[in-house]
Amino acid sequence: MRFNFNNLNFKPGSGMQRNVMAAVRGNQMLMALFIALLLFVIGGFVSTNFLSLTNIGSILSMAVLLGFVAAGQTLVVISGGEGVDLSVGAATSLGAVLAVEIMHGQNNAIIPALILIIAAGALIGILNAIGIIVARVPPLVMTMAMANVVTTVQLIYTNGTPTGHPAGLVALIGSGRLLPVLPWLVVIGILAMVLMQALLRHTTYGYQLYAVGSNSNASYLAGVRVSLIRGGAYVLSGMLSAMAGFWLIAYNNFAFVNMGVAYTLPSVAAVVIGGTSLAGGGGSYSGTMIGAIVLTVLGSLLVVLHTDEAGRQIINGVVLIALLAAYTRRPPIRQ
Amino acid sequence: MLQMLDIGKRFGAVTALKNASLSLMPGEIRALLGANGSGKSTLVKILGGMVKLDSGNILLDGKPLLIQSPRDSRQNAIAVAYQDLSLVPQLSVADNIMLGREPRGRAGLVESARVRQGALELLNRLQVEVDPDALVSELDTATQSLVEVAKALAWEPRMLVLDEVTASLHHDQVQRLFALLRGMRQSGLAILFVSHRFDEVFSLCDTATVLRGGETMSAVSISQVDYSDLIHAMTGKWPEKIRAAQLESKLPKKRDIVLSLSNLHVQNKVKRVSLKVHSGEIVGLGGLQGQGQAETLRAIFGAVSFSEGDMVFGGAPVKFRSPGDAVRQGIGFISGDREREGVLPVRSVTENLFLAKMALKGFFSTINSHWLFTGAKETIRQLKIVAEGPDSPANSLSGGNQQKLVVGRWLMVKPRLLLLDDPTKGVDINARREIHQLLRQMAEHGTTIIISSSDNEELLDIADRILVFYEGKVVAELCNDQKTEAQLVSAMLGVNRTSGGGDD
Repeated sequence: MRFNFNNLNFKPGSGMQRNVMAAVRGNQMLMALFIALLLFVIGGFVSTNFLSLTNIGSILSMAVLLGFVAAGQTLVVISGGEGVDLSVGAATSLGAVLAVEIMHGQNNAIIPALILIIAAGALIGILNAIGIIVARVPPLVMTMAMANVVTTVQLIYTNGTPTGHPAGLVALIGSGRLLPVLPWLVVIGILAMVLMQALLRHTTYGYQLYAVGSNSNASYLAGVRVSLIRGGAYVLSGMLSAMAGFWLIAYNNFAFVNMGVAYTLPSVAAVVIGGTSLAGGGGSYSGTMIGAIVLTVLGSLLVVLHTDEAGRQIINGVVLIALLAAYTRRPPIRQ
Repeated sequence: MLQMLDIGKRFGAVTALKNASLSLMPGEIRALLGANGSGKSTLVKILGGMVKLDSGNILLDGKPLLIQSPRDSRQNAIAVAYQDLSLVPQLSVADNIMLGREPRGRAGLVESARVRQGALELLNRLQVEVDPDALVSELDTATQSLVEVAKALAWEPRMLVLDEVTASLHHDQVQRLFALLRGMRQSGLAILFVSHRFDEVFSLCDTATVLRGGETMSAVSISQVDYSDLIHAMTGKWPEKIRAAQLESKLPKKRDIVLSLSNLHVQNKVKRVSLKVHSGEIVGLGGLQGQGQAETLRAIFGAVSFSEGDMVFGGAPVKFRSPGDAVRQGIGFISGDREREGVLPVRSVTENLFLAKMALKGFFSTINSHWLFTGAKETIRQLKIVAEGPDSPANSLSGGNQQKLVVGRWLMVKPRLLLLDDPTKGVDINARREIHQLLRQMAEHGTTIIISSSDNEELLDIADRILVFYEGKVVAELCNDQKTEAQLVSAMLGVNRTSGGGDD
């Protein structure tokens, strides 16, 4: 498959000059959305079943799960300072394991399970934040080490095989659908997008998070409590990732140790495809969701094409590189 | 020898250069002048190969010259010393100077002894006292600038471009550099000298090219013009008028003491500084670069800690642990290093303007976007900020306008005390005057201002009272009729101690 990315670039001086700045900022997200639609269309050509409402609904459900894991990742990447959270997958796994172990199929255990999951996620985030901000361990190293610790904790806690399953109500939401194309998970995903958007754009925390990511020295000297803002991003990331584990078992109806680990690197990819700069200071959660859809549609498409595992990995990698290369082609800004 | 004809360059929707022209002869020292945002830096970057031109021609010895990369530039014997230094902080002085032209031995390996030797020769010619093995990141900015010049000279250029390299140099360092440059022009070196300091331009340069809004406004011989001609070419206004508008006499009144420091001590930088500042007063901190002015301001603000001394603010003893604490008590801080410590480059004008206000609001207050938008528009109008709109990113603005964003940020929270650390460094004359007017207005409305500056004219112009720093101590206090350039300069050099502020 070949895409002509150039068609999507806003060329300076093309009569859209006034909108260029605004367009460029929305550009990557629009581009990702366009690619997602394109992948759906290609899928439709390959298999008529691909565009059935049920299949679209399933793809969106899976995308939302990735989007949940990537929620905290978005915050951490925006916060800058080479911020990245490689413990999101492990936190998701822990959330999943705790969820089944505590609920054991009982509806009245849902609330205690949620509280404990969020607390566990917060603890992971707090430890990450202390390591990164107080002990000044680079985020990449700190969160990777934390991922190992959290994985080991799960093994000890479950002896390797978690027992239990989600409460009936949770499983119903996890796999049920409001409409064929609209699973309950997607409804919750949309709700999460609204909440994240509110946090990022309409609270002073979100505002300061972008500021810190853009220039932490300047923010510090303007009175922003940089450590708390940045540390907060890691704590929120731990909590959101652990919650993602809850929805992961709601969807799958079972848990295994490390079930979230496969989401770690895709979460970073979703954030970047969605237009959040790895340098920090810019981006949005809606972009991340679209990035998650792109990755999930691509994955499904490769399955439909009967590509074997090796082929899938290679194509996945090539597409990612192509996307990122296309993203860097934007008009330069005055230095 | 070198001609640049009708050069044009756009960055997105912003036109940086249109119809800019420039010529340079062997042995000529030409000044390149212009307000911030007039395109000087872009023109310099085109010469250095950092930026590609959109239209126009460059001729070298009458032949067309295509500069596509810094390598092209160097191969044609053009060397540039950049304003925002192009040094690698983690490398040593010698490695930086010889970067890209390291002497190699037979096996093609770098011979570090010869690298060091070559660097040392250049440093000696510039009369810089610095260890060639020291890391660049450990040097003060003045020395870094000189290393940048040495690095450019290492290429043995026929054309040397100096982009505001004197901005952070001491007076005597400038004089030594100029002596060297004058010597080198005798052997045919052509020099393009970019500076905001007129006295330097008049003492060094033969000719001047003035840019305004990306266009060449005039190319003149320095001996045939005076300050006001150049200011007119740069700004389109005659300086007398601007001056008249800002001359508002203000009688110093005796008012409450807002801040008092006694025996403030910051490790190695500030030694037993005591001062008292009254409400609505503008106090200037003068002196050569790096004599403790910056650290004093930062110690007050909680950005560096002080080991000894007491501070009383608004009647109560305080010691801020972080700028966040100071801001909550009503203190603001503006740094002259806007790239590192001022603007949020990729964020919008609005977000830049509201930063301090947001910091004061805690974490989970909600934001009304409409209110932000109208507030930002009002401030843009009030400060005459040139931007496409409140949503434009800050890095699409020129340097002077970026600095106005930082001033506007504090205007919005109306602090009781505003600290400014060389706030107009590299800001053009017009924007500088506008910033001065704003500061005066703020002072009239009761904000107390402490401003340090490397520019004597600025201090004499704006400050009610000047404290002069020398080697970490306040060595003189100048007010009323003592506030003259002569007094200031002699106190700066540690020559003449009028009244000791710090030694008692």
